[in-house]
Amino acid sequence: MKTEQICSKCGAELEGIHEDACPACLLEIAVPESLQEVGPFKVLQKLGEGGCGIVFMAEQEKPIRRRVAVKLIKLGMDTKQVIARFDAERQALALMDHFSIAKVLDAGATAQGRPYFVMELVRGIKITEYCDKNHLSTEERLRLFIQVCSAIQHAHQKGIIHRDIKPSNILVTLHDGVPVPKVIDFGIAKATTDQRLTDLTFYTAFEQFIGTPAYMSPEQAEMSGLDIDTRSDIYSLGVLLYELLTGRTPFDQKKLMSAGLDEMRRLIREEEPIRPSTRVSSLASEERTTTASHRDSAPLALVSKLRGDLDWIVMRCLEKDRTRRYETVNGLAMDVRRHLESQPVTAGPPSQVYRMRKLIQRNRTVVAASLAVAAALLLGLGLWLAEREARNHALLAEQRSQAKEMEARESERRMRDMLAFFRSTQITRTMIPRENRARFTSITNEIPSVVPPGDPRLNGRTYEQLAAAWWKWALEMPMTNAVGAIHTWKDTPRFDIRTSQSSNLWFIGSPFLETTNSPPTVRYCEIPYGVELFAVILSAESSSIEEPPFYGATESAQAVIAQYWTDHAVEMFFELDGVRLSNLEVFRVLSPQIEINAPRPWILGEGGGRGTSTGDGYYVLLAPLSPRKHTLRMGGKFKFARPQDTIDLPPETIDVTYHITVAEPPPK
Amino acid sequence: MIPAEGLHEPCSQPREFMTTHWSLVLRAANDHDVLSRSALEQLCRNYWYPLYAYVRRQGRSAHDAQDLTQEFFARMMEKKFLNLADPARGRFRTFLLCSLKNFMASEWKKGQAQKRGNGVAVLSIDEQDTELRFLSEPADSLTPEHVYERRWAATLLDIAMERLRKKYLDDGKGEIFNVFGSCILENSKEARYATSAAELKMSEGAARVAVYRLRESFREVLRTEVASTVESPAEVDDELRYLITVLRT
Repeated sequence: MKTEQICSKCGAELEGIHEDACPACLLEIAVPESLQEVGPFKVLQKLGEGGCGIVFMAEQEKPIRRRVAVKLIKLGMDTKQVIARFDAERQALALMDHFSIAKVLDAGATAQGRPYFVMELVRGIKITEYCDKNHLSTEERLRLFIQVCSAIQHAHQKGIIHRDIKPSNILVTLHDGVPVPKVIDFGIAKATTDQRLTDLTFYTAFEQFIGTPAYMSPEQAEMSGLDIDTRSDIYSLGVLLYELLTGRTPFDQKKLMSAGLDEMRRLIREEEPIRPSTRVSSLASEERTTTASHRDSAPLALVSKLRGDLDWIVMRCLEKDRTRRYETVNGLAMDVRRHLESQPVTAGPPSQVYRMRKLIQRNRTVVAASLAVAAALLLGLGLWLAEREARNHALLAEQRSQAKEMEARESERRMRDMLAFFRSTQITRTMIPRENRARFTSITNEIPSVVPPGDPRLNGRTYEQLAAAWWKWALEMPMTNAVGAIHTWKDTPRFDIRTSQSSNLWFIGSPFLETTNSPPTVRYCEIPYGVELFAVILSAESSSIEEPPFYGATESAQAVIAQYWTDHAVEMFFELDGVRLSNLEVFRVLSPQIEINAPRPWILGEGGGRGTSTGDGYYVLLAPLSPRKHTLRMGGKFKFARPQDTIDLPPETIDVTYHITVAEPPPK
Repeated sequence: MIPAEGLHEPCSQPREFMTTHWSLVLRAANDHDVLSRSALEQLCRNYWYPLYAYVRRQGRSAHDAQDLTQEFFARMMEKKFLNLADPARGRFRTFLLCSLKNFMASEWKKGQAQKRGNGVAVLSIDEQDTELRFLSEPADSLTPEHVYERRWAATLLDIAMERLRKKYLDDGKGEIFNVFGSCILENSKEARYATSAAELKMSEGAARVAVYRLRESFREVLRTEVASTVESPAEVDDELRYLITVLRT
């Protein structure tokens, strides 16, 4: 009786001990989950458990020792698909650099085939819990909410939709006593839910992945999984705002969960939620008092605070028809800000005509069967309201167009900055080998001076994406070296260098095995395809250098120097094997979180100031390393924005030897 | 059937690490302690098959391998090799293989010349059965060491399963073990719960609880068994993880 028996957990062939489980999985039962290793991470402590998996605090050893959060996805998903979907979004995720976004660092699969995600570790509590615990007033809550919006807006600009915005994905941490919300789980919802579901798996998949229907937009409730855009996040933000203001979600979570799948979808798609102010005033008096006291307010005062502007803002986010919601998160944030500044908001009460139409839609049979008189009456009423509405509408339209104009001006300015940067970098002058000049020009021309988002010339990409593509391409260009000769590296296999967290700087080079004077902090870095890299980490806080600058090393014709400055650095020299290196290339880029595919062992520096939303940083890069022993002398003056930070470094000499091995990347 | 059972009872007290067979053996390595001898004997009785598989994998014939294994255990009981039991070596698994290797390198030839085992047959190997078992192993390209370790893990699990079965039988819950024994993994197919529950006329909730308890008991039994082959409680997790890694590669 020889049938193909496989383990129901890992799919390995069975060896006869058990009819359902392989030996390894059986042994695993006895290992406490907290001690299991997830990929290259050592699990330290469970942080939480949600609908789709368990989150652990874990320790990473390489490339640097740090604590991360590892989200281990529950079994039952197609691991390969999850990882593939994550990989598809990786580039975009890497572009995100916002202090309120917890970075998703990596994804992988455990030996047992469970997918996991590695995220920046955020030590915080749920935003709603934080607000209630600290009795934040409505205004304070709104300010926090605006910060959340700015994070989501940033992601949207990079082409990422969160898809699972809810309080447990927004943690509040204290930075020097100031609360900072951090949005976690970017990219995970997409990787884990965006799969075509068959009828059979529908329900379990649903239960498994969507823990919180209360935050789901009507289009998500459709579960078609195909047509979700940024406006879905706006809906969820609306639910979040609703909850921050009233302590309840628009639809009762319990009611939704107990309603059954179809009824739940109907509720989300059709049922109009009660306005926040009405919601609060309709609470039982005891509940109302608690809700208000959590908001440092009296019940009546709270209701009157919510009535009007805030009702409208929330309700506009919660529109069933997404074309009626705010177009961008920024629009929503601006309206909240307007409310705080007592300026008129663009959101208004839902139009009466619209509501009537919805009413008729919902009760089509009743309406059809009703008397002609009633119909005529409704029509008359409708006409009267429509006329009134038209007046309001003109006013609103004007306000909206003003807001749009402001947005357009802002994006125009950003683009001009970006373009100025590209035009001014030295790359255009010294680093473009002749044979590539034509291509270079054509790509530069692809970045038009001013285009509105969505301009056909951008070919569906955002400006940032285009800039990133340009930057990537620039890096892949064969480079000239310090004395102007052209090197081509056609035969060198590619490998990836991943850039760092924003507050640290990594210099990444090839194996750094012997030094007579060791650089400040040497940590081994991620190994791309079996090559050991080293990384030197300098703290880049404010404008102070806590450690002496890093020395790179090269031979005379192939300089590799990496240096980082928070603000500015001038007057430095590097001598390598007695040859003065003069043309350090310094690039300033606006978006340093770019994943770079370098065609050869690059040294590059990357940095971003802590707490800056644009993450301004400098890239300094030169030619590749050469595999032998070198002597490097360096020194100089480092000047920073604050004059007192000037540092004068005496010349120093170090000996370094590089051993370079680059292996072929594994076949995909 | 397991003489030293009492040494690490009760199973229901989780994580408690009592004196184990192996730590007992290690401590008593140099005197003729009856307890340690019987503990060692028990260990050898439990774990001889991985050694046999190793020897076979080395290319010895079935007959040779049986002789050698028996002879090795006989010598072992004579304490000829126990002096090698360096506490630093820690684990019975590594100790056993190491001893065998030494034995094969030096003693085996001499042992052949002497009267086999000095007439002490510690282990009775059912020749046919053993060889059948070995022949049914998948023919793959594993090294002898790898085979040994995989067999070790399998033996460990066999013992644990058997103990679990016995424990359930003793508690009058043999039926539960028989029906749910196959659902021990957390993600065993849902459908099976239902049918199995129906078989025992249980509600599905009760079935879940039963499976949960079964898994917990299995965990305890398995940890206890692993504990009996290592020197200190801290090593149980390490040993488990090591074996998992071996099996996964």
